[in-house]
Amino acid sequence: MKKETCILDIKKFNLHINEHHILKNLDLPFYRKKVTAIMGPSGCGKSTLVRSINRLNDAIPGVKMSGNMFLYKKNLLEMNPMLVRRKVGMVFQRPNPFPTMSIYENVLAGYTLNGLKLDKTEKESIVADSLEKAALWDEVKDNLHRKGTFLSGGQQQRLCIARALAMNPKILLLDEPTSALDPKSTARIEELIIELKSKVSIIMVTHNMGQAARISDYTAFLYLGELIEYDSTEVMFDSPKHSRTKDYLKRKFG
Amino acid sequence: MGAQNFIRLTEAKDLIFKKVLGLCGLIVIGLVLGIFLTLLSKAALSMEHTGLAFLYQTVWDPVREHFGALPFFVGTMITSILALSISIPFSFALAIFLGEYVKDGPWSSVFNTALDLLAGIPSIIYGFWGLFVLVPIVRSFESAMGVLPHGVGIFSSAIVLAVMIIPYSASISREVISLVPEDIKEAALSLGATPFECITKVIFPYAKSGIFAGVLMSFGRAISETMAVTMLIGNSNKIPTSIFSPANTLASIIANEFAEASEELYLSSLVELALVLFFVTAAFSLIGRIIIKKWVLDK
Repeated sequence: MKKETCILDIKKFNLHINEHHILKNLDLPFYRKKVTAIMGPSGCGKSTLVRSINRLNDAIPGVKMSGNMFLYKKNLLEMNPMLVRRKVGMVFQRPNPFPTMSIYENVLAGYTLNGLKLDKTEKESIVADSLEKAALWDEVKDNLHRKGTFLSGGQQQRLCIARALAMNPKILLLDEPTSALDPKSTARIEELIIELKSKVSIIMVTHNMGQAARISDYTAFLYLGELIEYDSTEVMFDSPKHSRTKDYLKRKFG
Repeated sequence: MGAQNFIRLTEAKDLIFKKVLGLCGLIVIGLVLGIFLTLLSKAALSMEHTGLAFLYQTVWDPVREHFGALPFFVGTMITSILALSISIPFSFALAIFLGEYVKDGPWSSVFNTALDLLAGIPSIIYGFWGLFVLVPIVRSFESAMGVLPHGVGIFSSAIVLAVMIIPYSASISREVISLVPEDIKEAALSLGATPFECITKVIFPYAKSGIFAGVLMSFGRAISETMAVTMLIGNSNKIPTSIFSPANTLASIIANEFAEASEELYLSSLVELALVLFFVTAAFSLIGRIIIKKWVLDK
């Protein structure tokens, strides 16, 4: 692997829910301003992994986590989860803009929800800037005060990306961000992810191998909670070392 | 041929089943209509005698045959609104607690069972509790405040009513709150909101019309509550002047005077009060229903 700046370093991470061992001893560095795809069959723990990075798993009854996740020098697992979530943005499978808020309010939701006050010019520049980054500005600039739920699914998902970007996160987590979208919207989001990596480090869960191949720089393959193989996407797709990775790739392609 | 018969038989069974169900539905409509018509016919005499003045006259004097419903209407409204404003903050807090914090697990069933039990306590027991426990407390509170220490009156009734409607408003709000989609709650949390911020800024705005409908429906319940209120309200037929005054509600005056109404006109006037009560409760539960329906369609 080439020398990259590591932004998030996961060391010996284990996650149990009651007696079930969901994630097993993961060692996984994520690199700055790169797109890392996490692949694997359903139930392999890939969503659980990204949700752990956002500390969303804290609320699951019976969950136990051990190990370290260093964001630069700080261990995410020992930080206040509210602060972690401001530094680590998350976009979910299904677009989930707040139905009671306008597009404008949705983009600013991270600030209003946290009780952070902004003046009008700050608000407007954050909204314009975030929507610009999410490639949605041109489509919604005349309807900023309409409800976000009137947008198409793909637009809603880009609104959610804008909402996450508005907080200036260090890392953007995407949990199968296109699985609920049509092919055209999917292509838009994929383009967007490639554009975004110059601004933010992206970790993306996907079960679409083509997608991983098209847009990611690194790919991790998880199987039954274990990290089977992790390398640059080229190496993973061209010459995977592990037989399980090979099987998985073949089965999907063939 | 056997198969053919079998199909014909099941079809017939199905048809009979459907008819029986339909009949039950019709009976319900018939009951509502029947009750309404009974009230209407029994109230006819009073309507003829007092006319529309029944609704705004302030004197209720059966001996002189003056029949005005206004004191009871006012008494009902003040008691119910007061009860509602006491119970809303509490039931709302309870609904969030049950809908968000203890959604499942053993504690959830403990709390929910307690809530159901609260709804199941007969109102006469609430009335007794009010008389023996609450009224003395209210009385000493009133003397401390320097108002006439009746003990019984609007204030005591409202407190007991507030307790009685908690299960209604809390369980409707709890349902509405637990219907808020998980993914928008997650969205709020993923942006760094605390559970409190998530509740006040995301869950509440989403659920507010449903909660409002729950409030309206419990209002309907408060308006029609009879037994406990009759025991605690002090039974005064004057328009109440303060929240500590004794008064009467539409339901309590009927319960209180029905047995002694020997004159035909007197009885008929009481029935007309019942008719007013019928309309008021129907109106509130209808409005509540419409809001819930609209809310469900919106989402």
